[in-house]
Amino acid sequence: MADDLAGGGTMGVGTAGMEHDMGNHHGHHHRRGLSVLLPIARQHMHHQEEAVPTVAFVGNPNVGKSTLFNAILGASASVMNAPGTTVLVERGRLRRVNATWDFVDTPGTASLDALSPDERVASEAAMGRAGNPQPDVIVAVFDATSPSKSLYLLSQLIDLGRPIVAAVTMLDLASRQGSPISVATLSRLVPGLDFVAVDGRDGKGTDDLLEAIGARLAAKEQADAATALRQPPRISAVPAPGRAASQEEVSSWVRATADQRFEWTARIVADLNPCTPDAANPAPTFSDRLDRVLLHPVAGIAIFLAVMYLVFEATTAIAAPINDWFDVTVRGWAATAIDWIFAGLAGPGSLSTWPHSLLVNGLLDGCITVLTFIAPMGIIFITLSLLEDSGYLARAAFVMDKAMRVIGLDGRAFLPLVVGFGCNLPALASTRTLPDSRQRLMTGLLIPFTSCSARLSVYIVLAYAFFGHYAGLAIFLMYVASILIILGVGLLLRRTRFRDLTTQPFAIGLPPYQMPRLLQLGKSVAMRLWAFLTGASSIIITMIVIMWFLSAIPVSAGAAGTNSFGHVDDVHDSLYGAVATSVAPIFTPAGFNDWHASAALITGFVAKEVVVGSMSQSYQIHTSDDASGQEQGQGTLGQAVRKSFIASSHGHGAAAAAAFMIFVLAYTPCLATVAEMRRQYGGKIAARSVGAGLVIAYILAVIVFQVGRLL
Amino acid sequence: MTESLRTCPLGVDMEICRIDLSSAYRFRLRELGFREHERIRVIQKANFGGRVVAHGTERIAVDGATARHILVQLH
Repeated sequence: MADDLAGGGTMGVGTAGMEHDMGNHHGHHHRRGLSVLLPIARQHMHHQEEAVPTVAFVGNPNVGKSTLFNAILGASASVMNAPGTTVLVERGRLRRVNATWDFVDTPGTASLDALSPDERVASEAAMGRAGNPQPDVIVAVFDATSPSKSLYLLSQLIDLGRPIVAAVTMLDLASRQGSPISVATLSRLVPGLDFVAVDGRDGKGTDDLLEAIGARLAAKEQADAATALRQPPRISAVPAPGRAASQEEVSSWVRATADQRFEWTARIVADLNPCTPDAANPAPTFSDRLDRVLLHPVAGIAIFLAVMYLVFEATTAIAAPINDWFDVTVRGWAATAIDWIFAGLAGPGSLSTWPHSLLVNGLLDGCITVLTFIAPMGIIFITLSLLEDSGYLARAAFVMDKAMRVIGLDGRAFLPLVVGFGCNLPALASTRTLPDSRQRLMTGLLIPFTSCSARLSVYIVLAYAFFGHYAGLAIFLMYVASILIILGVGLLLRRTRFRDLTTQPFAIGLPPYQMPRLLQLGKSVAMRLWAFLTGASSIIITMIVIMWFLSAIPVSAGAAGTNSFGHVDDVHDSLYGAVATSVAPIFTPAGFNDWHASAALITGFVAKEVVVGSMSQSYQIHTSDDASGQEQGQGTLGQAVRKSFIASSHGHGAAAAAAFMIFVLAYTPCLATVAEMRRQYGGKIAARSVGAGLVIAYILAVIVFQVGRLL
Repeated sequence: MTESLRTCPLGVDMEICRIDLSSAYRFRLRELGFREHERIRVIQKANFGGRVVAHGTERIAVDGATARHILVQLH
């Protein structure tokens, strides 16, 4: 599809299969790595006396690193892609009394020897390589329930020789599991290193952590001026590669020194648990008991599917009345207020002027469209936070691993695809739970092919207009087609641009189950929702206003000769109608060379919910707001569409309708998903996804029509 | 006698003998705690041969194919 989508190698092993140009091809030749994320002015400051110290958070996946990071930075943290990649990195600036620090939260990694683009970004940020600022302090996030893995990564970080502080998370859970691990014991076993107990879920210990960071920075300044900085003893005598080192050199260093680290880790773990010679504690933990059910070969899948069903229902059924409230009630209030202001300022005649129309049908429509996404997005953020914070999401990856591996994805990708059948937008948002950026991107590219509920309204009208008693079957087949397209495109991507996703062994740490904290959940949901609203609203509102202009500009005087800017009686006489007419012949091979159809498709690019309304408008049919899709399909609208399609397809109306339905299924879901893709993966990938969707939709529509007319 | 993680019984302590995977993956599994002579215990069978392994307080889930390539000796 695009160079941006390429892994660059095969099998995802070592440094092959990675997207790592880090800006080289993006016009940042002198600013590479995470440094590109920093404002230019700040970059210059790095080379001057008033440099802002950089604090990098590094840790294994699922250790509470991001929760801790957000507890410290709150709303001042922002998520963005590491340059040249789709790897998500969070950063923010913390201002304290007499101090300002830049914080960078790196992706979770098991080692500085990177096996994925995400791990590579983490490795580069921790080591100050690839143009990243050298961290002034590394915060090694240490999971008390997983001391072995945490110590192994910590051993590498210690050997980098940078000032380091260890933030110990999940001590309460470790204690509940019967582990005697404590900050005091760790400090004794790893002398020279500050261990600080923290809990990002309620913010406990964050002040102590900041004090420790401040102390290391102060000590570093004094050491720079006089003596060497007090550091924990190195684990390996082999010096760590410098900032200019390549990932291959880093990997070689990690592997060459691994045995010493394994021995060091084993010794400390043995000292942490002197009375436990067994492989594990004899008594199963609460999480072990729960996993007997939730990971059971049969019950585990059934429970997972039930959870997915609940998430799907929540994002559709619960969101629907809230959306209606925004769409009807709030829109009514706002429109009345605008009317009142116009009438008050310029008299009742101003209500039929184009500025009034622009405000009500353009700007207000755009704003309401954005507001209608608050409910599904808020609900998906809440459910995702619950699933993540409770520890279930890691299990979901395991339960569905085999099924999703067919298209090279891990089990976590199942959730966004299920949610996509309700609404593509929260589905795209939920790809953030995928820890691997390549999987995240591929899942994001598949989501537009999940048939969201908005598309159902189009299927219903056309199915009842053309297929009569078989309308239900025709609609069902659209969902089957959606799944087949996802599988087909998934297999195609896996064998082309995502070859590196195919064969990695699945081995992940399962975090203990825990009760999500409501306060932290609320903060996290509010931050994510705010990021969505600020990131996607401008493009949605702008495009809707552009659509208004297209339909407001007349290209002919019209039948009555009264058309003027903002007053076009028939859509066909507007610039919008002219564009639709000029586009229509492209669809001749698909059987619907008809301007009404192409006008509906153009509107459908903005939102599929308004396709049926657009059709009614273009045929100048006034249907009751209460008319169901079935009634519209069997009524005047259905007759008008049937007449058009039979004419455009030379008598093969049903084949043309099926082709149109397939096109609606496969092309761009809506403007909001494009905005969200742009926000998550960048403009190029969003544009190429739109292009690929159009091409696939067109090819499928032509095939369906050409085959269908032979039947 | 060695057998694979996939076929060994639940709740029995065992020692890792060998990992029959390519060097990169073998190394990653070692990084995750699957090292020769380490003591582990399978505590849960999952679908398609997947296994949950207890290693101290840590719990690691491995898929069926990977479990087949981890050879262990029962205690």
